[in-house]
Amino acid sequence: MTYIAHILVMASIFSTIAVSLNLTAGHSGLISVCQAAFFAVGAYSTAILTTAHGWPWEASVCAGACVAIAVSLCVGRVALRLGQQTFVLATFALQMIMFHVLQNWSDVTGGALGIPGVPMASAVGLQASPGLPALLLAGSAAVFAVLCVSHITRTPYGRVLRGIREDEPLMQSACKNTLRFKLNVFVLSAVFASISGSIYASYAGYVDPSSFTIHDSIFMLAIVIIGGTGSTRGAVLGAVVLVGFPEALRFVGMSSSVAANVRQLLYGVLLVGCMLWRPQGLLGKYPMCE
Amino acid sequence: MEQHVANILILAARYAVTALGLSIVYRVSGCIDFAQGAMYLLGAYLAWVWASACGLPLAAGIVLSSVCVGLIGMGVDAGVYRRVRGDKRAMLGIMLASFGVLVICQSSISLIFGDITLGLPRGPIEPGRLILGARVTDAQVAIILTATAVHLLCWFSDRGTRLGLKMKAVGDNRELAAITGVHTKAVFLLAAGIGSGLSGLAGAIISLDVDMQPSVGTEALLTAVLVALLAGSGRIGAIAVAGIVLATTKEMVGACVSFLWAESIVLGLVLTMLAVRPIGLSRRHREASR
Amino acid sequence: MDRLLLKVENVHKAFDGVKALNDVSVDIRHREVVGMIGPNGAGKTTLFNVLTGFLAADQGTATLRGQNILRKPPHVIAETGIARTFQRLRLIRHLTVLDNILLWRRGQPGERMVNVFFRWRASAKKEAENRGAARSLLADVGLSEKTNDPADNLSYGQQKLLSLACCLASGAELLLLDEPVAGIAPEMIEHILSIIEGLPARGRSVMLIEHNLDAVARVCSRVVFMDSGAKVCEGTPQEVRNDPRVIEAYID
Repeated sequence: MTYIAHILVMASIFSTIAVSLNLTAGHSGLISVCQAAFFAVGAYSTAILTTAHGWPWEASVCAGACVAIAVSLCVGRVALRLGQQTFVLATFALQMIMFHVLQNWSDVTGGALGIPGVPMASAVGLQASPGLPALLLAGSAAVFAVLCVSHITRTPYGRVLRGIREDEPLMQSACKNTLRFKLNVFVLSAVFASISGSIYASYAGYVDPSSFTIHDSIFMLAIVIIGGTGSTRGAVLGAVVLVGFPEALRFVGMSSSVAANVRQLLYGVLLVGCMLWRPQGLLGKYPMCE
Repeated sequence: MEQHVANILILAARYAVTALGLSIVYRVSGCIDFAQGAMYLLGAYLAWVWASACGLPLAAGIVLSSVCVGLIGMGVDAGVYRRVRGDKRAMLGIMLASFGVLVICQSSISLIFGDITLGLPRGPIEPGRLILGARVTDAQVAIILTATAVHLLCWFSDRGTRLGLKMKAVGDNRELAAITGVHTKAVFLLAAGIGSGLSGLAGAIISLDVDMQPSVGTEALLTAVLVALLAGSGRIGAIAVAGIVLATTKEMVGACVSFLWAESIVLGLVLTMLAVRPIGLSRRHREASR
Repeated sequence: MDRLLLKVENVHKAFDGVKALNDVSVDIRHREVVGMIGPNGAGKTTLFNVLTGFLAADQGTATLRGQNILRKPPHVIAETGIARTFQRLRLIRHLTVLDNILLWRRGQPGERMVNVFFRWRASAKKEAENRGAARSLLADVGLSEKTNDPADNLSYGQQKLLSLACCLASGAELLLLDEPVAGIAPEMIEHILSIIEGLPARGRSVMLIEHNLDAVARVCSRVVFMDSGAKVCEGTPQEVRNDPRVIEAYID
């Protein structure tokens, strides 16, 4: 029972990330491979502030979100002016910078060993211990993300985003300041990723750079693509399938490093398979490429 | 001082030879092929297989590995990219598929070889020769010579051969090239083979100097991306120049600030450069086709 | 004589040494339909691109109602009162016809993030108003029965009509239409031309690029002939048609 709760917690955390990445990548056409970097911002902010400085969990979440906003604003202002492919490269560079910082800034981040002993999340006086309380916390964040993103996509704002995805210069001709639109969703998805990171850090109890690599970013992108680009439900489904199914491999008795590689292999194959045979993903309506 | 110059030359050679494969594929297909990082990795590991496991002479192992990787690259193009590409410029689709290929290759290598560090059998560790006042190992000399030879070869074939002409034609305007009788599918296949083979060669040859781990694939990818971003136009000469500029910057930053942070600082500088000069990889005639 | 709406003076644009626009000057007044004709490569679309911010002019000035519109971002220029169509038909194909029209309506509060989350009721009301206005515009132009179809499902002629309707929905005073009736059936040509004819009465001005000289003669009060990046001559359709330089260019 607790194991199923664990899978659901992880699926919820990744759902939050996937749903917000879907807003950026699926809806607006901004393929980004730096979600793990923003995930790390939240995770490490919580880890550092709660262990070394004794901050309460909620405050560390806000701090992480602020850092995520700052970073995404700076990078977004530059990167979002670039062409679609060059934008991907810029996010790739950002992801690698973040990983280097996590690995090398040992005084603050603990380097390759990371930061152990992150206390459990506590909101409004309640502790999110592993099991149902943690699931409530992670689940609420996921529900909140789904509600936010669904709302945006049903408004004129969402309509403009879909227009930007298909033909950005045309939207500019229609008086839309496309940079502002793109920047807003980029920052929003960074904030959600950061909040998920904070939840993850306190749930896992420790952070180290190996959870925040380029491959984790690609994994998050794969969830969005396989689940269905432009579909919020698809993002959730993708998260449940891609997070839940490989966790079940542990039952088969694989060692955790082998399981990690098998999971990567699986989603790599699914991603390629998707692009070959079902580019719109499981529940998506419009494929990423025209 | 001489050592710094030597270091710059070695680093520049590594950067330039790593970036060559990605640039060639990009010039022809207009898509960033992230799987080139995987080809680099395969080149290194296959060279190990031939040289260490099968006992072939080192040079033969490297050449054989490059050829194998070239064939694998062609296989990926024929099996995956061609179908995703269809008849349209499905740039995003190919880029996403290439992420999948990268992940599949890297996780396969991790599963087969494990995450331990491997080295090519190059004899006992030597302090290197003293050439013009700088200490350079044989391996590093080999890298510089190979990089130069390969660049010259590509430069000449780019200008002088029919294949070079066809590749440029397809890269500039695929539809027009097809109408004039160029077999675009064959050109894509050959470009994939040559590009992948060159990436594989880079992986193998640089492994003479640096030991291999599954993570070197994404690092090589980052290098190639940075060089390509700086080079802008993708011309062979520009790649070499970009490699030298990048190497010089890294060496200077490393010497003056810190070697640990040199990589991240250089990344940050490239991102800042993009802010000022956001040409990125797009070329004029691509924009004119709006 | 109506007031001056658009004033373009001495605009130059070169690509790699080739002069795409060579000292081009043209005026458009309020409630006027001006045609621009000329062989392919004459610079007509290049002029449109310069005027709408997709290309930066090397030299020259252009003002709309006195405001400078050169070398500014496209959305800022559009805001001053220009809407355009493209030579290569551009629409958001996977959105419905109604959504395409709605995208072009200006000043939507629902397009600001703040309003999406905090002033949603007011924005929703405005959105409902916009939908009503969009539907009546679609009825006006004759696309009512396609309102909820994806734009991709329309015929080529209907898509051209839709892109014209989008420009109308924007409320812009100056419309730049790039080949609005090229490649479509005669009934649709007739329909689109009658809409364009009626625009001055609705307070709009139009500059249109066309190769169809009959269409140009019908709706334009003034015609500009361009060749090799320069304005060669200008006048009423009749005058331009009979100009020896124009005859030579089109016979060749």
